[in-house]
Amino acid sequence: MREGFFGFNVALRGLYTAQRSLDVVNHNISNVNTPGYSRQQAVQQADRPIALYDGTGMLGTGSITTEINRVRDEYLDYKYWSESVAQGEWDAKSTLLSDLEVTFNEPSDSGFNKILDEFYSSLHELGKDPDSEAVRALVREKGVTAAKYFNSLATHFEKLQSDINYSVDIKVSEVNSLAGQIVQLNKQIYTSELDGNTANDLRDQRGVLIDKLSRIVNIEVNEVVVSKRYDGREDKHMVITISGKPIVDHFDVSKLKVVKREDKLNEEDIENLFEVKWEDGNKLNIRGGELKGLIDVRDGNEGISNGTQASPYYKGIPYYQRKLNEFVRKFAMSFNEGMIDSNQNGIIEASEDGTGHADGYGIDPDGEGGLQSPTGIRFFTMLGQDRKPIDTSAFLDGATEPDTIADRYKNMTAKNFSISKDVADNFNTIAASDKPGEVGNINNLSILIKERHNPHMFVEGAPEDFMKALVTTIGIDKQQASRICDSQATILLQIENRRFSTSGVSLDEEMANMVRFQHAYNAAAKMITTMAEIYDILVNRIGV
Amino acid sequence: MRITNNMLVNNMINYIGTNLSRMDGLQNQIATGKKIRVPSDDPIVAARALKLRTDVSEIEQYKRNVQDAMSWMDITESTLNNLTEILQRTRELAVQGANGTTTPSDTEKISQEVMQLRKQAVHLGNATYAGRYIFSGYKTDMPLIDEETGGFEFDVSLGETIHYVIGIGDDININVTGGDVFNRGSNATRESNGITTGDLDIAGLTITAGVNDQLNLEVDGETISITIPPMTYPSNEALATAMQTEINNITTTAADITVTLDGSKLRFESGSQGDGSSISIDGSSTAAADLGLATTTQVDGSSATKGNLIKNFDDMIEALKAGDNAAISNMLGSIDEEMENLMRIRADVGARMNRLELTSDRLMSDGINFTKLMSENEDVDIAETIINLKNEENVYKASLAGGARIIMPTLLDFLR
Repeated sequence: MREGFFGFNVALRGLYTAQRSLDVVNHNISNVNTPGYSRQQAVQQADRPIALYDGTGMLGTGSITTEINRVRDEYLDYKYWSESVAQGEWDAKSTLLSDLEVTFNEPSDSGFNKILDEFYSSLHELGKDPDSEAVRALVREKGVTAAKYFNSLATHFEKLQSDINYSVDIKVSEVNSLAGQIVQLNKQIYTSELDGNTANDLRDQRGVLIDKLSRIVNIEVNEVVVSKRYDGREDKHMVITISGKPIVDHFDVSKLKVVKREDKLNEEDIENLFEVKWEDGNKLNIRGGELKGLIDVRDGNEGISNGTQASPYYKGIPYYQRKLNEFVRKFAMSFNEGMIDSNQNGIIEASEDGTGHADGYGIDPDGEGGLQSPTGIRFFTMLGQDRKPIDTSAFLDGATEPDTIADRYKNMTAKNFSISKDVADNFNTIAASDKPGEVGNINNLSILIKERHNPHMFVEGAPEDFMKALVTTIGIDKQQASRICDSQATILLQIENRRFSTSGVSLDEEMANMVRFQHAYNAAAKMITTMAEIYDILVNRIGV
Repeated sequence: MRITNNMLVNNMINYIGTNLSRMDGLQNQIATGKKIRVPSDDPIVAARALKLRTDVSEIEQYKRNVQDAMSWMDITESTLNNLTEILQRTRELAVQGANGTTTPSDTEKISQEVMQLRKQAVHLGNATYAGRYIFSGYKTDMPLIDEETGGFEFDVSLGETIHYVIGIGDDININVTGGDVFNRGSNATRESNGITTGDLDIAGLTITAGVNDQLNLEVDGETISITIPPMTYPSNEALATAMQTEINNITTTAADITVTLDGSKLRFESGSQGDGSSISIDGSSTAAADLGLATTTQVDGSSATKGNLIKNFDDMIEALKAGDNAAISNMLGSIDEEMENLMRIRADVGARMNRLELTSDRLMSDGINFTKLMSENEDVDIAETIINLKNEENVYKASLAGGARIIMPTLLDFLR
């Protein structure tokens, strides 16, 4: 017994599967450049055969498309996410440090060294012509230039710190937005997969979002099996955690927030820096990603603690601010007072109080008194109200003993560093002489010039050595950041290539498939024609 | 490994990017002429660059200092040379005057010339370099010797040496102090014209108006009358201060008097100086007795200190005017001593100039060496860099061409 129109059905199935496969090829070609897209495959198999009970065996009934797969190696995703964290962190650091580095403007003809050189050159010239108004004015102006250099460095650093602070805020909103979108996709994926399908394109989209998230903050992604479903498949929930606490838990999202700090983490910080926390107020531990890069550079001060909290163990903006402050304090103290903490114990002992600007005498050019070769004038003080320089007595505020005077210098910062009002108002107060009324006496000036090479002024050595150390430090840190960033980029590129290799759409392949399926389709169609002809003969020619 | 189109594109973009960034680096090097732009390009080179730049700029400064020191010492040298010539001429004249056959009228004429020589010597004592008096020690804004009297205008100790820094931890004394030249190697001192009282016994001393409040001083023949404010003075200091305040209120020129305390004695110093200047206390004024100033004391200011050299001129002029051949002959020894003193100083100045020359030479070669080091450290080798750039350019072009070949065709291009 032979069934009637059985051949038509088989040919029809051939048409259908070929068409389905062509649809998938079509979809793949459309998405060849879609980020995160994984190529899909229509899985086809031979349909259930019919058993012929006449001893011939089983008769094939054509083909059927059973599922549409996406080709994806999930191991690569996990690998990507774990490497992307480091890339994000060091990319952020590298960018920010290069900004810091450029601020120092070294080596150049307008950086610190040039400015210090010129300041000391003017002092040398003063030594050769101590009562020349032109040279005295020059010394004052070079002093102002040196002070302004530090002011502008400090201001730039503060500006950068505030910029980074806003970036932190923006990154946190980005994290929140990404987490929200991921939860939305979780819902869609979960519902579409209830009947056992795989939501290919939605999963791809979620992958892209997680890629982005993994760059910003350290995350761990898991699909947790919570139970078994009625059909025996596992019920999986997606959980993304940051340092152990879930930010995305299946359909729930815990957002992050920024809170203005009440207490400064570092004394050098600007006001109102943001602390990143969980929305429920819990502390957030950021271990990687762009956020860590930003926060390390914003807060990094080699782990110095403010009593309750320690700053990141990194050399960020507060570190450089602190170093600059240290520089102006020690430099000004040495120049003004001759006080040098040779044993670097942080205390000025009596033996460390040498001769400085304040111990010398200015000149009294008109001999008319009024300006009686003043002594005790500090060359450098700081900016007071309205950013105007304050004079010696306002600066000292009654301090007379070495230790109390040294304490006054703690108020000095790179930002408020300045020449004193006394010198600004009258350059004749510049104290070259060590005795009153002797214009040709440059003994005090010679001591000031000599101190430039005092290797005990800083732990690092003389002033130049200090700045050299600082510039080298930032150079090395930046170099390290760029190198890690580069090598991470290479690793990521490698992983990405492997992803492309597995999941990427190959046009050649698709074209080949297209031709293949087209031929299959054509053949199936031809089969129908053939069947039609057969039936034509059977129906119309026979039995006439 | 399965290769997809996007992998090719991705890799090509990446490699071309790497090529471009290498070219950018080389391009920067050529444009700036420097190996590094920022410290992170090469922190070691950056650190050395900073050090060498400072070294070079300091050497430049030291060079300028040495030049200026040399100019100052050139002036000193030529001044001393002139002074020696003057002394030589003076010696010749002294030999001439000492000759027994020279008559007083001849010596009178000789004295005219010696007076001119003295004037010239004083003038040389006030020699300047760029408006600064070179023999005045630290008081470079004031002439050393009074043109009239030939006395020192102020004290210049031998310790008032001006040092220019000519290297790290290296300096050189550039000046010769006035006393060294004009006072035969001793300090130059301006003797003040003053008077010192006997010991004061202030205990229980009360100044009462109209009884013992008047103290008269005579300065250069002019009487200065001081009215001491009536009260009981607790200490010598209080009395001295009160008197100084009173004196400051008197406006005449002669009242330029300074009251100081010398132990338990009072000292009055007159601002005027030189021949004929004098100061005395009138022992009969009402306060004098109570202050223990009964005796009138007077110091004649005519002995206001002159340097040895000028004093020798004065002595010689005096001897010439008197026509005293023997006395003139005696002057020869003194003049020789002055000349020896000058020779000693000139030898010292010469030695210092010699040291400056050597330092200058050393700085010159240091400057060249350090500039060379600096250049080796941070400047690019242009030829090498251009070749490298050319090389990179070829690689870049090749990678572009390769990319164009790989990216373009797909199977699509052959299915027609």
